Amino acid sequence: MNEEKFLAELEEILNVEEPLTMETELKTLVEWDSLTALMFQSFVYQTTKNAPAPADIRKAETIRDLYEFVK
Amino acid sequence: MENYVLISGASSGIGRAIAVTLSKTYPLILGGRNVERLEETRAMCSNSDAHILWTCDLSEVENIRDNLTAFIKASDLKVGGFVHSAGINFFSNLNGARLEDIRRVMDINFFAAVELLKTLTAKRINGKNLRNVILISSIAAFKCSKGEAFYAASKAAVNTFARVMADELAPNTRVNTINPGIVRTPMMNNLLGDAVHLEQYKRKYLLGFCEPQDIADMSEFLISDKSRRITGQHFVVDGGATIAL
Repeated sequence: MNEEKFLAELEEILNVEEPLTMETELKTLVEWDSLTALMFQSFVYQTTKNAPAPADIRKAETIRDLYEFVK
Repeated sequence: MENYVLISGASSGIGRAIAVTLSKTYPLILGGRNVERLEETRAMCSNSDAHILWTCDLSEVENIRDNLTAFIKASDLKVGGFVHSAGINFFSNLNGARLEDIRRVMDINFFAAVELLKTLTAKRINGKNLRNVILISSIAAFKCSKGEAFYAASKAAVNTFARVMADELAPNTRVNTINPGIVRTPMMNNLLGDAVHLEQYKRKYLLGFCEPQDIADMSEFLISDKSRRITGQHFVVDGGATIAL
């Protein structure tokens, strides 16, 4: 999956008003919470057939960190 | 820019009554399939020029989001309230029900509500403007008879969906359902036209059958600030039918 498609998918999952960038910090996103983290885990599984551990997802600090799960 | 209230199923019955009642206070988007009947509804509303029409066939669920998104952007408006009044009845026993009919009742009664709410809460489409949602459900969600399984299942889905949405969308958006019993509308004419059924139902409806205005009056309360602390609730308006032995 390329970065552009990933950002589009994430913008949909997080229902953000402003576009995301790969460098956006997750702590600045009010939409990034336990529910959307779960939805992201499901998205990674659907994309890669591997489900990342929640603890690993929690370590992510930027959108780019999240991209590592599907790259 | 004032916030509109979108009412699906506004061309007749409960939706029309809700539109006429809410038109006294709010600019409306009157949603339905039939333009002529929507025009009739608009003509019955207060300040008829303030209200706009939106045509969409809600049975084509996959088109709802694009259709409504394009409409909102083209009209350059904000939607602050949403009443899902569109719905169909379906009466069949298990073996007599074709899958396409079951899907149709689920599509219009439930999936359409999901797609409409999803679109209206998408921040890029409607910002954070949506504050108030009313889903017209049914007492069938709690108590129903043989032959009503699929209709009842669709309304039970609406109720459960509303409860979870009330949680997910709080505090910005309230979500409640109104659960009518039999309401004298064109949709119920077949049922009420049968003398045997009519007699059976009359005994249960302690306060009599509902009129569309009964549902409209409850909608007026729920859409207003008078219900500002109410969310995730199911309001039964049924003339006492669910308590009758």
